[in-house]
This record gives sequence, C-alpha cells and structure tokens, in this order.
Amino acid sequence: MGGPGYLEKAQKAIRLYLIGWLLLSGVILLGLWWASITWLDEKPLVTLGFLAGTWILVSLIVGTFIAKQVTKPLTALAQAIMHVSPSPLPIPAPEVEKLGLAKELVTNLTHQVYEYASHSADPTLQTQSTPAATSIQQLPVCVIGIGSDANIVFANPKAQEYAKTKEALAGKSLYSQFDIMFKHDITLEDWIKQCRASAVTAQKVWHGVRMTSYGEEARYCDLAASYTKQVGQNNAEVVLVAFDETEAYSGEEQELSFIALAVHELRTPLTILKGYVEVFEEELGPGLNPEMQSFMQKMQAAAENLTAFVGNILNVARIEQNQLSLKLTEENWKDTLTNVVNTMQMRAKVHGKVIQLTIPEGLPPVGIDKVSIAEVVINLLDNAIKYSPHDKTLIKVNVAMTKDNLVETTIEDFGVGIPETVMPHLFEKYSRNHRNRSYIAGTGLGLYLSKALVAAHGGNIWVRSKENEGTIFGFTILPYTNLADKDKSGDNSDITRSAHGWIKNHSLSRQ
Amino acid sequence: MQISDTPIKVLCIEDEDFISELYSRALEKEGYEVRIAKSGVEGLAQAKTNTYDIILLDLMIPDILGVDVLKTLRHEMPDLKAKIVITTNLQESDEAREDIERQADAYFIKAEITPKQLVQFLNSLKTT
Repeated sequence: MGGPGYLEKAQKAIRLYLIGWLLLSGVILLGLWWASITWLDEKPLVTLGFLAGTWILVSLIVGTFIAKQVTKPLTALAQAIMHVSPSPLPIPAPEVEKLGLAKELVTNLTHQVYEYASHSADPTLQTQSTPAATSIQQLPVCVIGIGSDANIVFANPKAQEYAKTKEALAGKSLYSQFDIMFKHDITLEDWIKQCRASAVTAQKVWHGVRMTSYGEEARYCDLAASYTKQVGQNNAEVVLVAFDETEAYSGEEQELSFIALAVHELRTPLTILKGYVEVFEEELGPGLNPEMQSFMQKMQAAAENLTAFVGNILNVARIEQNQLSLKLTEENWKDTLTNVVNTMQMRAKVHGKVIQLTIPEGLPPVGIDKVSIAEVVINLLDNAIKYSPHDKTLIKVNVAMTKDNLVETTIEDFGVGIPETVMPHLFEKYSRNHRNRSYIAGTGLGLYLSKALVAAHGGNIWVRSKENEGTIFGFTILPYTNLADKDKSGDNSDITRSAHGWIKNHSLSRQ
Repeated sequence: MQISDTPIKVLCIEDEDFISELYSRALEKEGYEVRIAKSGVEGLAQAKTNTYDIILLDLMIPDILGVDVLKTLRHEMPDLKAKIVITTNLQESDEAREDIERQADAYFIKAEITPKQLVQFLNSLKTT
C-alpha cells in the first residue's frame, strides 16, 4: 500500500526543510548582516530587528507551504470519508489525481473507504451508519442479497425471522434456508440463469410464492428480485425482497382444505352407493331380467363417473396450488392402457358405445404416474362417449411411436366434433363445447386437467376435429429411458401404485 | 399368514356404519372374522391386543385420528403382527401421504374400490 513510504517521504521532506531552511536562513542572515553594516551601521539594533522579522515571516510562509504539501494526503483521505458520510451538505470527492506526495497510497485508501461505505449498506455488518443501511435493517419485509453461488451475502433481521433462525444468514445457501416453490412460473433459479445469459440488470415479481423455512408452516410471499450482473466477488448478484402475504394467500389454502373436505364428504356416500350396488349385482344380478341388469350397470357407471369427477375437482385444485407432484415409474404401457380401457368399457357400454383398442407390440417401457395418466385416458374417453351421438357407437384407441421416439396414444370418436371457434380455448379451465352445452353434461375441467397431467409427464396433448365427423385427441408420453433422472421416482421403489391407491411391494410377501 | 383352519382376523376401524357393514359382510362371506371398532380409542385398544392379522384403518375417525393410531401402533408395538391397510376417502397432501407410506402396508381410496375388490386384495395377502 506504500504506507511507510509515505511516512518516510514526509519525514524526509520535513528534515530537508529544516536543514535547508537553517542553511538558507544562515546565508540570508549573513547576507543581510553584511548589507546592514555596509549601509545601515549607525542603527544596528533596528537593523537586527528588521532582519529577524523578515526571517520569521519568510520562515512562516515556507513552513506553511511545506506543511500543506505534507498533510495534503491526509486532507484528501478525510475528504473521502466526509464524502461518503451522511451529511446535510454534499461534500465532493477528493481529487486524488492531483496529489503529488503519496498519490498511490491515498488512491488505495480512498478506494477502501468507498468499499467500506458501500458495505455499510450491508445489514449483516455492524456498521449501520448510513440511513439506507439502517432502513434496510428496520424494514418490515425480508431483504436478502445472494451471490452468484446462491449464497446469502446479506440479510436483514426480518429475513432471519422468515428463516426461523437466530444465526446470521450470511454465507449460507439461500436454498438451505428456504424451501421456495413457485406457482406456474419460472423459478428463481431459472430466472437468474436467464438473466446471466441475456441481461445486465433485470427485475421480476412473483406472487404467492411458497417460501418456507424447512420444517415450518408454509409462508406465502410476494417476491421481488433485482438482478445486476456481478462485478465484484463479494457483491450481491440478486437482491430479493419478500413480503409475507400468507394471510391473503391462505384463502387459497383454505379453499384446498375445503375442497379436500368436500371431496371426502362426496366420496363417503359414493363408497356406500357402489358397495350396495355391488351387493345387489352379485346377489340379485343373475336373477334379474336384462333390463334390470342394465339399470344396475347404469347405476354403477354413474357412480364411477361421479368418482372420476370428484377426483378431477381435487386434482385441479391441487394443480392450481402446485401441490400435485407426480412420481414417474417404469411401466408397461400396453398393460396399463388395457386395464384403463377395460374399466371404461362398462361405462361405454351403458351409453351404447364400444371402445376398440389397438396397441402394437414392442413398445418401450414408459415413465408414467399410473394413477394420473389413467385419469387422462378416462377423461378423454369420457369426452368421446359424451360427444358421440346415439348412432355412432365406435371409439378407437390407438397407440403408435412418433418419429421423435415418443409413445403416442390417440382417442378417436366419430361424433359431433368441435366448432372451430372453441378450438383455441379447448384446454382452458371451464372451456366447454358451447354449442352442445344444452344437452351434454360436463364441467370443463377434464381437458384442462389432462393437459396439465400430460405436461407433468413431459408429453404433449393435441386435438384434431371436424364438425359432424368426429374428434381425435392424442397425447404423448416418454419412454422411461428418456426421462430426466430428477423426474424418476426416487425412494419409493418398494411401493406399487394402482388406480385405487398403493401397496407396499414387500407386504405381499411379508409374513 | 395363517393356519388354514383358523379364520383370518380383521380389525376394521371405521366410524361409518354402512361402510363397515359392507366390508364386514364381504369379508365374512370369504371366511374372515371381522371386528369393528368405531373410534380411534377403541381401535387402538383392540389393535394393541395383537390378535389381528389385518387392520383396516380409516383416517377420519373420532377421538384419535387414524394417522395417530398408525403412529402409536408403529411406535409402541414393534412386534405387531397385523398388516395395516389404510382405507380412507381423505386425500392427503403429498407430505402426509409419504409419511403414511413409510408406516402402513397399503392405502386405498374407499370410493375407488368396491368391498369385493378390497377382499380380493386381502386374499392376495393371504395366499402369499
């Protein structure tokens, strides 16, 4: 830094000044003495007084000049400190470039001063001297700065409260402190990646972000992030501000709790209804005439329909709350699809329809959540049944490999078709085939849900339709080997899932 | 699981009379012996006798919730011989479900399974 150098230079300068001035003043004194005895010998005392006065005056002027030169670096440093300190009158920054003595040292020191000043806005440091830093400390919202490694660079006390910790957050990873979940939007991590790729500065606001410290109750926040391309190593790349809006968003949570409760209450009578119908069918069935038997099947089909619908309501609510997580396992698509279609045959039959299933051999194992993908097939088949008129009895289900090596399943009916005006909004929530609303029941949840579930499998859903000729829905799923590792089922390998729940694999053999 | 002459004993912890009637009827027809408990307290007391081979456990039951019955049994009865099959209409959150998955042997949504299908499943336990 050149600190000792500066001091040495200053001492040397002062020494030189003293020696130089002693010599110089000696010469001046002698010169003047000689001059005075030559021209002013009758008044030696006056002459001496004049000489001494002149000497003192010149000494003062030269001394002041040298002192100023020597203290110039200190003055510049003091000015730098005053410049960054809060003050009613703005003090300009020192012009370090104009310094002669100790220019390098002062440049370094002033830079350090500026750096400390910028850090004093860091609430984790105890130097809370600036009003800005104090304000951040007192803000009733969580303020966190994170570096490029997602480690916390600074955090205010509210952030500590959010993280439910008394320890300083600085230096810890943001994601080790908070479990952050975003609703249908880019995640913070991905947004930062985008910013790094394409922006110098960027801002974004998320609403209703679930930001919970691990093991604690859910906290719902509005989250604002400000990105600045990082220059220094210790600077925050992203500053996050989170407002706790749990109260406002807990309405949605309550909505889900309400739906879960309502679903429970709907399922109980359904269970009973299906149970007693089964008893009737088993014990009376063989003795009933065909008409009565068909009534029995219609009751069963209606109960199945309602069961599926209740499941739809629940799943839509869970998707909207971002609480539906799928566990994709390796499955044989032929077996899975055949099972689903078989269970749907009865529902098709009571409406006078037949489902024709064609599956080629040699399909690769697929990565699916069996329960969820069954719901997709059931919804598409339900639509095909609903939108086929009485005289169109056939519904075709086909499976094929696409050229992208995906497993594509199509469900084709020869019914009323979908008007072009409806097509763009088909997969939206509450979208209905409006022309047919008057006589076809439905809620407009099925396709919305199917799209979300297929997307969660990494696949695509599409539709082609011609009015009065029919509709074909298709969706793709991925071969298991194509799945990203993170989507594969993790530690639940000992659990078998079925449409009706799950069974621990080992329980079948455990004695 | 059993010596063929003694019937398999099932404890059905279920507060909904119609459902327990349906389950016990279907199970008894297949030779199971069924005891019904209508609350968590009663169910837990019965389960602790360790005389059952299968426990059908509803989650929404009076006194002690099914989840707590499950936890208590796993905690206090490490030598419990019964397999615990959750039968519920409650849709749990993923976290709660995973918690139950760790402790129970099977889980069914009652509305999605008929009594006959339940019996078929329990038969499959019996034969292995």
